[in-house]
Amino acid sequence: MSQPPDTFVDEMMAPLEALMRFARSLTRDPADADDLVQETYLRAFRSWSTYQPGTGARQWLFTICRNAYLRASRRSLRMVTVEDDAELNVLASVGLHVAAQSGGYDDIFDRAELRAAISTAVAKLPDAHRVVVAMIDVEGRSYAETADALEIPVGTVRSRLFRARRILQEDLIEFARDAGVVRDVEEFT
Amino acid sequence: MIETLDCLAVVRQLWDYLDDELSPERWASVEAHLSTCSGCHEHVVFCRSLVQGIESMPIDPSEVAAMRKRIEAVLAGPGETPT
Repeated sequence: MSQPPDTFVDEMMAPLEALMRFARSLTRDPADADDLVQETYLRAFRSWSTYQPGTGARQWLFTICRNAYLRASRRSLRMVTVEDDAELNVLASVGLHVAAQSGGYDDIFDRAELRAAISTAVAKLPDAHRVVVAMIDVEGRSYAETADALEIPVGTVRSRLFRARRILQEDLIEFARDAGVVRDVEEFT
Repeated sequence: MIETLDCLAVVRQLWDYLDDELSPERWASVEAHLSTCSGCHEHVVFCRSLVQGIESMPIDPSEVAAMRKRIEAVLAGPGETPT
């Protein structure tokens, strides 16, 4: 059994944790995410000669990973989704903030107790919304790049992203209430 | 030129602002409002903390180590050679 070249290991393993986070945000299941990460490294290894060392292992691996995911998930991502108004979701987010402020928990998303819950909440998002969150919030792509990769209009990207973030805010606040991390002011009045 | 924006106009562009999707002129107008409006500033902090939470979703170091071993074992397997 031979070992992979040191140059591959040295450069490609550095972004492993970030790539695992990206794969977990793309898929619903950690086991599927681990399979996707393995597949990404296999594809990278097989086309290692096309990579120019020092040109950005993270971006190269993320692109391979995303393309592998999109190829496998084309059907579910092309499902027609109801696109609601991006602005309505922004305004709903304001309502959530006002409630959080009045309840004294507007630092809620910084709390350590919620860190693991964020992964769970992202996994619950519909596929078409989750992939937008993964590409923009985890991979760091722009709205236009995301629209291009998913072959959808930029307006649809915005709509799905803003809706996804509102859902995440609602889910996490609900989780925090259920877990007793926060209590609303009205409970004491 | 920096345009004077009200709170509603800023809130409408809040996610675009956080995602760096605004033009430099529009970004400067939102910044100018945020520097004088504590309510909008606090709302930006609230929303930014969600995005930062997503960006840094925790991965157990032991899982990363296990994944690295798994990948190295697969790459060292028969038939796997870089091209």
